[in-house]
Amino acid sequence: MVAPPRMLAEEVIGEILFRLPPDHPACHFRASAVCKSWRAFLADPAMLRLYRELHAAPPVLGFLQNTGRADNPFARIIPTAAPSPPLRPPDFQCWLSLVLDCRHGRVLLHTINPLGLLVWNPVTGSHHVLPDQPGHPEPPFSHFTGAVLCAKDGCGHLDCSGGPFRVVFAATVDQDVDAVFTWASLYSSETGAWTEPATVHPGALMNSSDVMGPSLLAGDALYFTLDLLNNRTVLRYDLGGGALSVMDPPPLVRRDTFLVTGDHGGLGVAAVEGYSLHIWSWKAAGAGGWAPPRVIDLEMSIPFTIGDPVTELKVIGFAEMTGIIFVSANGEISGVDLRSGRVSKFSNKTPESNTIFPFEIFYTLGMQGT
Amino acid sequence: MASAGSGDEKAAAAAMITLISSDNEKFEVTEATATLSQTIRHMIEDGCTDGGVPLPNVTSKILARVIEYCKKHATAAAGEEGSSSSFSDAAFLEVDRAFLEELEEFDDAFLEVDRATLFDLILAANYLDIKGLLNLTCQKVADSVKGKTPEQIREMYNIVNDLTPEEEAEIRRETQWAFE
Repeated sequence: MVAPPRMLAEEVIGEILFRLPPDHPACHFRASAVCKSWRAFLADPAMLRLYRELHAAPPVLGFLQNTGRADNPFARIIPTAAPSPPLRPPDFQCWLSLVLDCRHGRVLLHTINPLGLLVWNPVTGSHHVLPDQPGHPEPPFSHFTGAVLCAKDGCGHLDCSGGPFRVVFAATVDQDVDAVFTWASLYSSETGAWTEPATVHPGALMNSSDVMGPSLLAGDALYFTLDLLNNRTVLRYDLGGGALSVMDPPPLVRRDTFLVTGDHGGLGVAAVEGYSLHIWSWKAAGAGGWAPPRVIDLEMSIPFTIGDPVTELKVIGFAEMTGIIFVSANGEISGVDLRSGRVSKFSNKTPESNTIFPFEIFYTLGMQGT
Repeated sequence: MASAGSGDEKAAAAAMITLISSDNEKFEVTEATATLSQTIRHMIEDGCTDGGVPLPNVTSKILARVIEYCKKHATAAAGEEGSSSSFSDAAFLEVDRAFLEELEEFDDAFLEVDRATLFDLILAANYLDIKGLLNLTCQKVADSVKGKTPEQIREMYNIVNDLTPEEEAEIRRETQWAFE
């Protein structure tokens, strides 16, 4: 006698569907087409909330980069999931745009012609044009950076891309080399207004067209890199009080350091030294200062040839939610997991710029809108 | 008092529990092994394990495999507690890594079972509330779903397609990208 075919017990189907990998959104959609009960489970908002909580951090589904090409005014998201879910450009006319930041499911764009700032949700394609900063200091700025973040108190940032947000825009004015100053201002989508700019005098800048770098959110502060004459230093913008300050530079004279999450969720700075990744953490307790670096050996795990003069290892991006540092080497991008130290291949698409902005989101049923 | 305390701990570590399968086979296991199951842990805490723990939902064949898993992971858990997991101590880190690698190899080999056994292990892990085993077995199924079409998934797991043709067409329209 042939035994009846074994079936998965109904009571454990949830246990299995909860474990579908978040970085392969296509498998959720295919699984939702298996039968009624699987579809009901994968489309249930309460189950999806549990799913996101179980997986703790939204996966990296791709990255954005500024290539300076004018064929498409908006940066495309280079997908890392295959097949990749559809992402929609904003319904907005401009000549060109520059990605300044990507966080909590949103992208901050600096648009040119018209000049302005735009917050874009690539999943729904919706966008929000920010009003001009009314009182921004004169003379005009020559360097700028910015950050976008969710504005909800106590949010875990697992599914907040449709909620209120804040934007910080920071710019540096160097028309008078003896009186260089940096200002920063905060916009809230809830009030629809910018705050009065805070100002700081960082000292002489490096002679470059691009001295302000991408942001890191750590605790209740945003950090940006700023290239001074002698070193790359760190700007701190206090989200609570709106104060802007220049921090002690990390204990290394480098131009290619990248801001990452440090010990205890604080500020960290990463750079490749030789064939290993060094991460310095800012000690928030006591008098502050930089702790000795944590070192992660890359020699065995990243594809490159030792001694090959062409090989250049460089930190080019950081995914805040998942804690992955992206390192480029010979046209490939590898991800170094900060928690485990594990290195994995991320993309074999040659990065076209020095910075990639990882796009981290849970892409599940029912979130595309209409 | 301190010596009395450590004596109690030793006694607890050596305490044996009898598990009884649905086909009435008896298995003697240490409490450390048995308490990987939250269900059994609660029974021990409530003092209802005298005369053995009947497990009417688990056959002897499956229970033997479950115990094999628990024994291995209970040893690993004890080893972890004994060692330091300080990042600065390279020697201990080496030991931890060896432990983890051995455990990973064990888990991989453990999953080399036919589908019916895998389903039974999932049910047993769910019933006995053994987090690690439930995670291991369910992850195996979830991973096997990755990259498969709905038809292949149904075939693999004997799932009856109860979606109406209209529903199916609608799903394909909404999620065409996922089928490319």
